[in-house]
Amino acid sequence: MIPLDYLRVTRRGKEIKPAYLSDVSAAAEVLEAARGAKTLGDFRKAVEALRGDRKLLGGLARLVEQLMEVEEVDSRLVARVRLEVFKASSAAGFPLTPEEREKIFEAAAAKLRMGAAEVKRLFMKAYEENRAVLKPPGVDPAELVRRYNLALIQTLLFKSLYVKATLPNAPVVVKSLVRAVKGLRLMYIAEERSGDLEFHFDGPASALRQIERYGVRLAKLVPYITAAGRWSIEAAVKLNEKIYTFRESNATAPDMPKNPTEAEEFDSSVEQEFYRQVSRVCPVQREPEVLVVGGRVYIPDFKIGDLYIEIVGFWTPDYLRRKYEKIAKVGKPLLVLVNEELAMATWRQLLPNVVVFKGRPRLEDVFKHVKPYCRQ
Amino acid sequence: MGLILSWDRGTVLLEGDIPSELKRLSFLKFDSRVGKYRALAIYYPRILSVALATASSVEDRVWSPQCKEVKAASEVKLRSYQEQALAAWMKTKKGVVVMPTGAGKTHVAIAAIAKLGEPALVVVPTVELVEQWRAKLAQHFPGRVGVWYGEEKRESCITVITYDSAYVAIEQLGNRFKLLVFDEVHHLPSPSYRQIAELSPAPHRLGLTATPERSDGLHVDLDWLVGPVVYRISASEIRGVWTADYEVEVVKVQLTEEERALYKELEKKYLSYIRGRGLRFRSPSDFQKLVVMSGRDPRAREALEAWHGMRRLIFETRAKVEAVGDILARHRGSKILIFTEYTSLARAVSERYLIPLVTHDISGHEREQIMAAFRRGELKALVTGKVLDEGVDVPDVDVVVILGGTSSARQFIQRMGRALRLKPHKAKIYEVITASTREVNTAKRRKKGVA
Repeated sequence: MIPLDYLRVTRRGKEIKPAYLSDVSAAAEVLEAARGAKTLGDFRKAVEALRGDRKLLGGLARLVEQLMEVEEVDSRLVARVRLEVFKASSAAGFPLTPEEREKIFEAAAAKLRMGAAEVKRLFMKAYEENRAVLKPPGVDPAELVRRYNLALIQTLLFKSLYVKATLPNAPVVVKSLVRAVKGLRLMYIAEERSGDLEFHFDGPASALRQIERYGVRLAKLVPYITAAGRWSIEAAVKLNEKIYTFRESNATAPDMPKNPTEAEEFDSSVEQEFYRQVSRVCPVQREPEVLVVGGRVYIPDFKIGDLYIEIVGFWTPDYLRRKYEKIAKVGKPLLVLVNEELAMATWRQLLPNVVVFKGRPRLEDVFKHVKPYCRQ
Repeated sequence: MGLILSWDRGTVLLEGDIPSELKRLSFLKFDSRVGKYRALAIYYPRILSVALATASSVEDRVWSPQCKEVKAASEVKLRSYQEQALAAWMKTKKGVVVMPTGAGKTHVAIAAIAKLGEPALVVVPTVELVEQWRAKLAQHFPGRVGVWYGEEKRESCITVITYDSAYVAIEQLGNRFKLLVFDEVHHLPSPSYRQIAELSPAPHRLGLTATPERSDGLHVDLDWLVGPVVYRISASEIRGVWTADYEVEVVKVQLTEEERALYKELEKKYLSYIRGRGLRFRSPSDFQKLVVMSGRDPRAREALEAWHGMRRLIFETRAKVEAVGDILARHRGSKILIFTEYTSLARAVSERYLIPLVTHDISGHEREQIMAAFRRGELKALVTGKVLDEGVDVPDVDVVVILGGTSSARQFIQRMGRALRLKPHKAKIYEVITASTREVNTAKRRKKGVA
């Protein structure tokens, strides 16, 4: 993501879009500047000397800085050295001539038991631009352009009031997206529409007033959405007190970076073990499609015939009731497996579709529930 | 089922039997996403009082307090006017106390926390102030003070946090603190910071400042975000008694020939556009018009760039770096604090005279060490941009050097205030101004009304 100062947009009436980059020449120039730079300061100066749109160059430079490897500095050591220099200077009544200045560094060096040249070098390392560039970014201009275009969408969404997205019902993508929503303390409502999932994202206070508060967090959802391959986004964006609509989809957007979300095969060994056992007697589908009930998304672990199966970590009877009552009401068959040792409260009676296991779920615990759905 | 109130990330949710008196409140809305009524947390005290008067039973699940109670380990001694300020605030436990810099606002807040005995969140503008508040609070509440900013996030019974961090963290921390203290509360009404107040259910709120007024007029919102001004005492009512006397000396420096030629050129470009358009600037919001115009009109953009160029010349001329040398030579052994407008000048002064630098590009660790050594007297001078403008206590400063600043009287008062702590001798303030430039007027404006 890049700062708002570098955002470039095109407006048409109430519509707004990032001013995407299609030409690679600016990206190539900024990458070239990074390759020739010994320090971060060198790089910044070289970019400043380039001709062209300042916002474009500034945005590209930000991304390049994030992608290159910069010297790590021991900031404690630097602080210690500088403090010693400042103390020596204070004690001597501050140098007014270059000779006096030199003597201060020597005095501090003696105290630190270092060479004066080393003291001087470390003294200047407090400033970011004096840090060495160890490795320029390992991306080509075309990839930088892809990342830049993604970053522009994200930066535009810094000022968003809400974001809507449509994606195919693909559990791997939806799972990481919903997890990100929870981690960012945002809210979502999901709907199923002709096989696709439609999401509306915002935050708690969005129900009370138009609020840009969640914009930066909403922007962080974009890579999870574009990872779907087939996607569309709609957002309301408030810029300079005006509200614009932003619409984009994989069909209209420029190429986005390839960042395939890692397919998490199994959450835990418990699930792996369960799959190993049950798949011997019955075909089991891993990562089945997502269930949408009452605006919420449920991501079951397995599916056997029409039966969804979820293995739950820590739980209380209340939690299970709240989580699964609605699914039970709409008549989707669901089997929930819970570990006795992970119960966070005592219980007497659980819903009939809950099976309690000890240690790990065994085939004999679940077989009678699974059998009717099992089609060999 | 009676009425249940609960906390959800900066808002309050209502479920169960909701009396019609509550449903009529305009700030309460039905949220179809969760099937419950919702309001911004700031309305919690009003919701609760209406609920208690009308609902058959109320279950309040909003709070998850950081700790049960707060007790001061030592008595907080107050001066008579601080005592009056505390008494005035205690009547409603909501409101703003206005006191000049150096009058000991912190003590009023510490006494208020001790008297109330509830967990408190103290919101301050800068990292330096976090450290300072933490140290002062720890004297009275040992082991019960935490800080929350940047990398360090340790929550405790009394937690000190920056405005920036609080803006983000209020969703997590809001329902843990029943008292909010806002240091330099004039920052609060800005469009983002105000959300700290709006997303907190705290019934008790204390604002502290020397100058609540804002040029954008938003200070009127302090009334509902914090509470009305409950106590006000001016510098003239305390000056001489509690703070030192001072003397201002203006030092004029000249631009170099090259700089002057460039300045004239930029000035011409700027003025011809402004005059051609018949623009007049009477307030900062007028100037904002030029900024907005520059988004469309390339000539306006050029004029704006010229204006920035002029400012940079005025504030960064080599002559100012030289002037510092003269002042340093004149005050060997004194404690000196130097303010600049731009970081680049602060850095030039620091490198030239090997004076410690307190700006945003220096690590928090180094800044902390520098401030401590400066307080102890191991460091005699310090150069800074704007980070020390407010509230930071730097005791025994004898000389303040202002190398650049805005026309804001508040900034001037605050910077002067750094030298105005109680001391036997007169404090000296130098204003280094670039002769025959706009800066002469800027300096006049900021001193207007500062007697």
